[in-house]
Amino acid sequence: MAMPSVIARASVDEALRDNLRAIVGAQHVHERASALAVFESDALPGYHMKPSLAVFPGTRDEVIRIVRLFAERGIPYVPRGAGTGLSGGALADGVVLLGMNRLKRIIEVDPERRRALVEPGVVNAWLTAAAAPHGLHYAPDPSSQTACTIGGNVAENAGGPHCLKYGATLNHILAATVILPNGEIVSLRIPDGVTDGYDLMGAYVGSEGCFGVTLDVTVKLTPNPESIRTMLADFTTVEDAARTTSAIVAAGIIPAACELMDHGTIAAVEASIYAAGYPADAAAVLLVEVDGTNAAVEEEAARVEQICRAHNARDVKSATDPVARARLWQGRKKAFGAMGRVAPNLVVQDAVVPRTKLAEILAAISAIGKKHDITVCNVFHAGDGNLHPNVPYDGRNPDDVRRVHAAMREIMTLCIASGGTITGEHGVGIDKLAYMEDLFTDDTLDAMCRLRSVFDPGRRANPGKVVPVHSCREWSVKSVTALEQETAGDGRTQPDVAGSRTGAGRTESGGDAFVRSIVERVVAAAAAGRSVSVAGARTRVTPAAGIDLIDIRSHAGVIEYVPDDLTITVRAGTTIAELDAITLEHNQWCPFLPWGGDSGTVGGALARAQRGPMSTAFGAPRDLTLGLTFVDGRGAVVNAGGRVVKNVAGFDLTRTLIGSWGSLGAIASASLRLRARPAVRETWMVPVESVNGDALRAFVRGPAAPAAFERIPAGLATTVGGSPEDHFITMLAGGPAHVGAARTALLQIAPAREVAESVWHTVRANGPFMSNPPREPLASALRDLNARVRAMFDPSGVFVCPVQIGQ
Amino acid sequence: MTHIAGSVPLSQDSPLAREAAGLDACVHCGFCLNACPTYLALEDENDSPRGRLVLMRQMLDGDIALTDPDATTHLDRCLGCRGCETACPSGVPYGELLEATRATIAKARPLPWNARAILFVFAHPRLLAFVMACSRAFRATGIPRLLARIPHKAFFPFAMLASTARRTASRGGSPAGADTGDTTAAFLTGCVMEGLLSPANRATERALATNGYRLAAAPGQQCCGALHAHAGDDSTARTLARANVAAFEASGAEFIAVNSAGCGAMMKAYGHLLRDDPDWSERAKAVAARVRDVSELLVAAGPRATGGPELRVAYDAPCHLQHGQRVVTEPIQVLSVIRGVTLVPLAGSDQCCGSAGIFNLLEPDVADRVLRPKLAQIEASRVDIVATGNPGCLMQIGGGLLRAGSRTVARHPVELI
Repeated sequence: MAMPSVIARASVDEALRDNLRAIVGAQHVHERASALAVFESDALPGYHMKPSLAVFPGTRDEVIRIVRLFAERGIPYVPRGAGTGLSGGALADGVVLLGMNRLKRIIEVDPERRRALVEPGVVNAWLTAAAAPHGLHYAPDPSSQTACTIGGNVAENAGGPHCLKYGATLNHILAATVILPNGEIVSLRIPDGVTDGYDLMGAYVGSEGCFGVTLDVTVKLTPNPESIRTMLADFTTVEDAARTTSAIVAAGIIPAACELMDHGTIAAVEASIYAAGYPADAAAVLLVEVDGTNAAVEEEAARVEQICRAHNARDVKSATDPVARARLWQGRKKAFGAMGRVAPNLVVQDAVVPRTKLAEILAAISAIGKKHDITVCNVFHAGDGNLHPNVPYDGRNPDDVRRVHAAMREIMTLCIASGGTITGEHGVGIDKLAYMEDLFTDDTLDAMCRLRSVFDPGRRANPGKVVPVHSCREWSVKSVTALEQETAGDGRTQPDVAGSRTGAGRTESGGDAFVRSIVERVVAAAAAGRSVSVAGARTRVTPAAGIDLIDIRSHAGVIEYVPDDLTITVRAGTTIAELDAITLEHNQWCPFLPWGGDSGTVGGALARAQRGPMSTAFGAPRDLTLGLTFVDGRGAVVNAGGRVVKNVAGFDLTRTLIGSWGSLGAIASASLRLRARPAVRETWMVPVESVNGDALRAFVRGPAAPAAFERIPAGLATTVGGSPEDHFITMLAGGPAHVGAARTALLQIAPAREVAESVWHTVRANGPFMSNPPREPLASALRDLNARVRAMFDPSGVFVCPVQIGQ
Repeated sequence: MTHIAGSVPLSQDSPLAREAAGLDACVHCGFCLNACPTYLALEDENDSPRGRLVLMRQMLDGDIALTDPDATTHLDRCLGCRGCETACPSGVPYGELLEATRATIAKARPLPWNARAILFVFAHPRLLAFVMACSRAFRATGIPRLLARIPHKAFFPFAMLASTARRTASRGGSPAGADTGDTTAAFLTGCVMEGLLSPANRATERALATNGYRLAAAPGQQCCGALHAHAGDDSTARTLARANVAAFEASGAEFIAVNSAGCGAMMKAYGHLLRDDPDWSERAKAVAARVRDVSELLVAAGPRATGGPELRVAYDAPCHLQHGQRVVTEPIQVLSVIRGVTLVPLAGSDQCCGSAGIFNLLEPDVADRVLRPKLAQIEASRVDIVATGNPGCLMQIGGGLLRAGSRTVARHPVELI
């Protein structure tokens, strides 16, 4: 494997060692080569990098003192959790390693608010174990969950089989206390209103240790479903299994998980202690799990089985009891480790492709494997299109290494060309650094560098990872060249920059005439010292008079819609009504349906991070946006994120822009996650006074939780057909059996009355109705951070923003 | 792994070099970390299986000396519980690697005097019998029980000894119905089990007889050699193994019953231990294949229900039973047919107690840190008895409970039948 160069090196001297020993105790500082050797690799043992020293604090206070010592002395460092990463992200190349594994306290589990406060070294599986007595669990479940830490999960935005239905780490982190590389401590949380500032929580999750060190995390706990069924379908071709996956999701079923394992993987697993009873002669198996209410599980399991059989499944086994389910799962979860049975080294890729292209891409990967004479074992999150080709090889054989390397590049090029991304959950680290320029344009990479500079202007936190150093224009050519020369002398391999590097994965909006016109206007305004303001339909905000408006309404319509992938890319001026109508044609919807009139634009809703009545059930804009294109205050066109449902390639500019109110850039287009429109949707109204609060609360939080639940005032209630008093209005959505169960539960506690679904248009236009308690203003360190975000993306203050963000 | 200039790999016939293929199976995934009691207690990855495998690799490659105290400390601190083996998807034969490493190190750095003294005693049956007799006499004075209450770690061995006392005298003699069964089993009576816990041995014989096994004598049996193999004294371990192979072959019994998890795991591995001895390897394999934990034999026979007083009982799995022999459910099945016994789940029952043969005598600090959470979990379970089928665990947990002034005692599962 080529090892990219790293630019910052630590100068470890006796004083630093003594200081660190004084903070944590001598036994928690390692500097001898023999004791540092285990930290040279994470779970991708093809890479080795030697830290200069490793320090392991045991308390929050010790972490703070260490990071401040590093800040004072200008020492670069790499944070590390359990070292189970799969991208070389926690390797320290001649710099100090900061081990966080000793901070393993679960500080509080709050079953009432369904959240827990934990230290970063808490092991993922321990958290679920602590929540279990309350009928709750922590949903993100990376396969390494018995070993990996929550701090590491946050740094990588870790996924896992169940993020198909429940979302990745990003969707489950409510708040975090972070110590920035400069030693300042900030409390990040999901913003709720402009006073909270930019979504720095969103930017921080998945920042791979480059933005700071987590001191504590508040995570969301998810109620255990009433029923879970795990199914194992076996197939005689991999393509059949892949097509089945696509068909299940296209049929409107979102399984809790949908995993594919091919023959090579089955053989390795069945030889291991985690043998799960997978059929040895199958070309592929699909592990599909459905969960929810008893009724919904019955309904969906039957559909899944039917779809599997229709796609030539030889057999479909099903398990509901926990022991049998655990056995089916253990093989999948430990498959990666079981590859050690095949050969001593292993590379694993993490590309995501559109689900509908799975079958053809798997066939192409198989051909690449044959061409280079390597073994490719596939075990992956099929439901997300998140591929994990595992290639066992012998690292001692240079020819093996060369062939594996060549094959990997071909596989990645193929996945990028299909509209996919290079990493869905493992992170870029050093392993995927060389592919970043294949995926992103220079302007996008530079924007990522700027986001990093917001948190770490000195580039001391996890140096040399995620974005190639030479992509950062802010670093003068001179300094990069000097540093690269310095490191080249000791035989380190330079990143392979040859070949076509066009950022070909993402250029669609760069050539768009409208986008070009925005660029011209922004550049001209900046040069003339004038301001511009971005405006959508102006349903919610009236721009200040006399300012040049960039009106996005004329920039409307669909750029790409692949119904079976459940993704859509639209221009920002597309209205909510148009989006709803287009997706309805395929019986789908984009369930963030925001508060406001249907004439509002998608761009406006994203710029305001406008939630809607269904956000609690289906996700807010930050949860449903896959990527967006924007023009920043320097006139650069930035293609943030991507079009596939899972993506952790680079720093998260998408979340940074959502809720930025036009202050960082003009959003030109966005890719959104869609859902199948539930087969049955019923809207019910209940007078507030007629129902017992506790019973209602139990209904809303229970297994048959509604898709939307709002309290509307008397005036609006009469408009939509209710009596003149305050009402609750709720939407029940799902399959017939699920909605039937929910309806029964509702009618047991309240004299509810059904109304037409169309009342939601009126309700949304008048909402939101529940106002949140005012939150305290931001602390000064966080205010500074918000100001730095603005300065990085709009240095000359071109964009006039209708609100004060984060101040 | 990068070689340090001038480093010389280990000779090909060193025990570690001969096991090197086992090291290649590790892909560094880290799934073993939290299965390791010393990693959880000491929080240093060099004290984890992944870390120790890297240290072994460095020794193999000659990057660190076999006598390097920094490296050997981490290897010495391994309990050898093999909890990592049942967590490892890649099938790294950790136990074998550890023993090979210790045997390799032992050739370069002699074992500490106390370890050598203990191993010497166990290798000499008459000396062992004498030491055990003295221990029993000392135990009968009641002095160990008093000394056990002194909190300093040096007094923990007295607690271990005191915890082996049983109020009821053993109902000795040939158990009823001993010759009625049609399956024969020869019983490894063991060193500590027979020396300090003979009531449990008599209970084992009764239970086997009641469940239809005819006991065959195996004169000439000796210490199983587990303590020697774990410590790196592989030549003594092989000498003892050969003696036992001969003794149990001569017994003609269909099965070899063992009620000590550590001894059972060792005897089941005799084939591996003697694999390079052309005269013995086949014989050792054949004997090893007949070895069963007493719980396996009882479950295979039924087991027959028995009655007893009302007791709240928690089962704590000995590492060498669950990881070493992969015997997990049988002891619980045995306990569950005893009328009057209420089985209480014990949190962390799959975690090591810190005994690990003579580990708790050699590394008392680490052993104590590993034991602490175990004692807390037992207290929280509010049971009368912790049942565990290994003499080391019985004394480690029993001694710990005694010092803590707990009302809970540790017993072998067969003692409850």
